[in-house]
Amino acid sequence: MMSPERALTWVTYTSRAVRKEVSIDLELRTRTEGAWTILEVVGEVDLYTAPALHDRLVAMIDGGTRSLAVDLQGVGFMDSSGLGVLVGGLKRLRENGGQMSLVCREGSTLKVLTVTGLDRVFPIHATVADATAS
Amino acid sequence: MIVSDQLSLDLPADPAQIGTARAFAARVGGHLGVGEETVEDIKLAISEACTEAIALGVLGLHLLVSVEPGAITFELEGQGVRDPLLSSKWFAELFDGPARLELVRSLFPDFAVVSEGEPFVLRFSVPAPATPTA
Repeated sequence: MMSPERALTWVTYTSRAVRKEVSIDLELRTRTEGAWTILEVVGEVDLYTAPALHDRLVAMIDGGTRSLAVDLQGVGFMDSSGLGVLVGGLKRLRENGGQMSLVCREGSTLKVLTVTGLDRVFPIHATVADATAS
Repeated sequence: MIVSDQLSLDLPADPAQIGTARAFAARVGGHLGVGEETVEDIKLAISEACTEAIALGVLGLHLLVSVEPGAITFELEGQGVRDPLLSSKWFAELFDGPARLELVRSLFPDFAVVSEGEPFVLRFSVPAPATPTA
């Protein structure tokens, strides 16, 4: 049986370990493939990091990007903060006559897109090649 | 065998700390034998709960995990109140509170806002993994 004293020790240790190991970074890399601009997102997207994604999307769209594939294969975690930013980007692109696809094959990111029904809003592809061929 | 125990983590209500809350919950879930997919769901639920609390303007986050025979309960308490973030520039593009909480409810049917006042309290539970008997 885990005693309360032992649990407390464990929690203290874990809290320190978690604090030490958690460093949420978001990398955003952009490249062009034909008529498409690829935004590769790597890291975790939540309330803390979503503003960076938001700002990048707005800058790209304001800068003239009209065919955008957002590659989410490097995203280890995304919550509704990230989803909201993606939906905002899609809306902004469509208002400017653009299109937006997501690249996401598996994992928790695809699950949250499915649970929220956004897999019916965004074209979702398994690879960047599939997205840019559409 | 774990009969009853509680583990907790206190964090400032800072978006930068949401990843720490997720990592703590994931580590506790993994330590207690919760399956990988459920751990991912727990991370999402904790992230959404923290986001909701921070959006409402709480000052501190108290995450409590109660381990009892048959269930592991996660409770997030938002302590203190300051000006809500809801009016910030890009926050309007996020999922609104009800949609965010509905997302969590779709993963954990017993998810509930236990208290909407001060403190603001959210709670959900997962079945405790069966303990092998000798």
